[in-house]
Amino acid sequence: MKILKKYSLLLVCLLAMNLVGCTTMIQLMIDITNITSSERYVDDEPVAAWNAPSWPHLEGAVRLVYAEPIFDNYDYFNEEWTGYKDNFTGWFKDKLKDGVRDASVSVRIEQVNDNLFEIKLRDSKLDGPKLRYPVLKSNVVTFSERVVICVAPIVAYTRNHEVGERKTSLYASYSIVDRSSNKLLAYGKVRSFGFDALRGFNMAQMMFEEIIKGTPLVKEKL
Amino acid sequence: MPLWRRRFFVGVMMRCLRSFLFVLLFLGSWAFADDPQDLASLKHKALIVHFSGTSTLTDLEKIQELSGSLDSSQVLLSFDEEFLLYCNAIQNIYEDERAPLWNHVLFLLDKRDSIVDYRSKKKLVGADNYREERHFAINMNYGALRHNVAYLDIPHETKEFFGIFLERLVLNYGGEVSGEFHKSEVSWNSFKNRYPESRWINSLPPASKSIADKAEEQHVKVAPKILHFALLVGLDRLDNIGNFPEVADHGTGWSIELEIQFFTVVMQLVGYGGDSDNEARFRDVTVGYAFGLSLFESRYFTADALLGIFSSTYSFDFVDVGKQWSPAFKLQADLLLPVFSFLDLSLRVEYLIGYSSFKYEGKSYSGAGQKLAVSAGIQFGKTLRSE
Repeated sequence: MKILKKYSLLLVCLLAMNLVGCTTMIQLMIDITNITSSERYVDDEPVAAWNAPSWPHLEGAVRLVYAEPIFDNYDYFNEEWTGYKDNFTGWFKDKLKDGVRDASVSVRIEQVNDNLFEIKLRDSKLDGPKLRYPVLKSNVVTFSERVVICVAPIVAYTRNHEVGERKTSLYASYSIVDRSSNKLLAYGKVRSFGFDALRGFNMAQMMFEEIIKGTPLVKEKL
Repeated sequence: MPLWRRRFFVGVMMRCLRSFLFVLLFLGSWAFADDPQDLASLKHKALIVHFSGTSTLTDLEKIQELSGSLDSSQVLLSFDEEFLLYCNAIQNIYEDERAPLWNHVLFLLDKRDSIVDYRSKKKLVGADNYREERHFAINMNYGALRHNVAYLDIPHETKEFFGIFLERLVLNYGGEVSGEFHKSEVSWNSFKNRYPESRWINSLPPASKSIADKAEEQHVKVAPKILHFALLVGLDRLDNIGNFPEVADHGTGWSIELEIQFFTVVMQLVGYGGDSDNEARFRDVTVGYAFGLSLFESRYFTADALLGIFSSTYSFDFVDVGKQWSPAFKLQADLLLPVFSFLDLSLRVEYLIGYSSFKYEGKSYSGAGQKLAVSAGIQFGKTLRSE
């Protein structure tokens, strides 16, 4: 015991050196310093919205045109939605159709080619956030509805976490335009969540709810 | 000591100090200077050390200038390096400056096969070194880039392929966890199902963790420093072995160290001390010089062994009982926490053992004095490491 006490300092020293030098500690330090950006999946543009103070009276139907969504995780999608194998676009369209039923007016949806949209930056005359938003190129409009909702681009991603949790997100830029007066009624960028089959909500439906939030397109609840 | 001898002694000391500073300055200027002949080192410096968000476009011009100095048989950047470099640059600058960089990225994607084929016939500067790619892969915000490419006026297929291609490069060079490889593979198969006629159908590099492992190995094992300076302060304990009285130990004391390392040669100026809280009021003040060699160095861990001469002054109840110079042997281990390429936080554990003797109450005592110290501080200097 006396010897142990005598050489306790040396033993503690050797133990400490062993701890400091062991592979686990080195690997831990490497991992800590490798975490350079925990915000890896967060876009650098904020989520925000602007709505015009006055809207025209909404009559008849509204047209919603959107670009094909970009999606990055077919591994998870195919596992979750076996009936839609590799067809995220079809799933998105079906879920969006369900979502627009809750609007105050009839909404006709249509997926169009990416190159029919022109991306604009906020009109400096407006007091809204500095965001990019899509509008349809003037020479491609062939439909009759007065109010058009443009949604592009739509980027959805799912991230696999090591612990088994999978987080899904969707970002979309949009604008709502009154074609008769060529007036911008709303624009912004929305974020939505929800992907798994068991839960009642989904990112496509939530995206639409976020877009029409604060506009006359929201159905008044009794 | 006569005055003339004292003056002579001070004069010699000052000359020694000046010579030491001169040698230090010479070594420093030599170590920090660029070698214009070593293209691989200049490339590494241009891509990693100098590459920053505030002057990305200027830095890219410097890289282009550097590529102009190559002979016709050489090529500065591999396709993967150039692609990752420009993607990294895009995320470092403002939205309204990104257009020319996006154009270049899309050009690279468009001409990928022919560029890879052309460059494979040339000698790549710094071939077999994946530290640059690893650096870009780890710092790549590819989620945001995938989002940003969606706003460009290009075909949907190109946007999708860009995302898959960038993700594959990032994974292959160690920028993500290995579990993502499966996700990447399934996404690519889905792309091929949806675009069976795509022109990029044979253009995606295979998923492989071997390059990521090699890059990590190079990153960790690369020689860490040419020259560094360190300043550490901490706590120490003294334990005397021999026929010393029990009161001649002190509890937790202090330590301070100034260190210069040139390649593997370590030089130190150190001080330790402490007071006991017993009735004998034992005090120890030890200062010394030590020289030694670095036994092991990696990015996060170093171990050194040193020999030195130490002057220990012991006192009891504020009365000195002996002052002597004696040899000592020291072992130290550092855990380095990198802050910048030139600056690390350092946590050090050290063990020192040396000869010790004094007279107390008419009796002579001698034996070994051993110290254990834990200290923390900074190390800065010329680095050879990747970020």
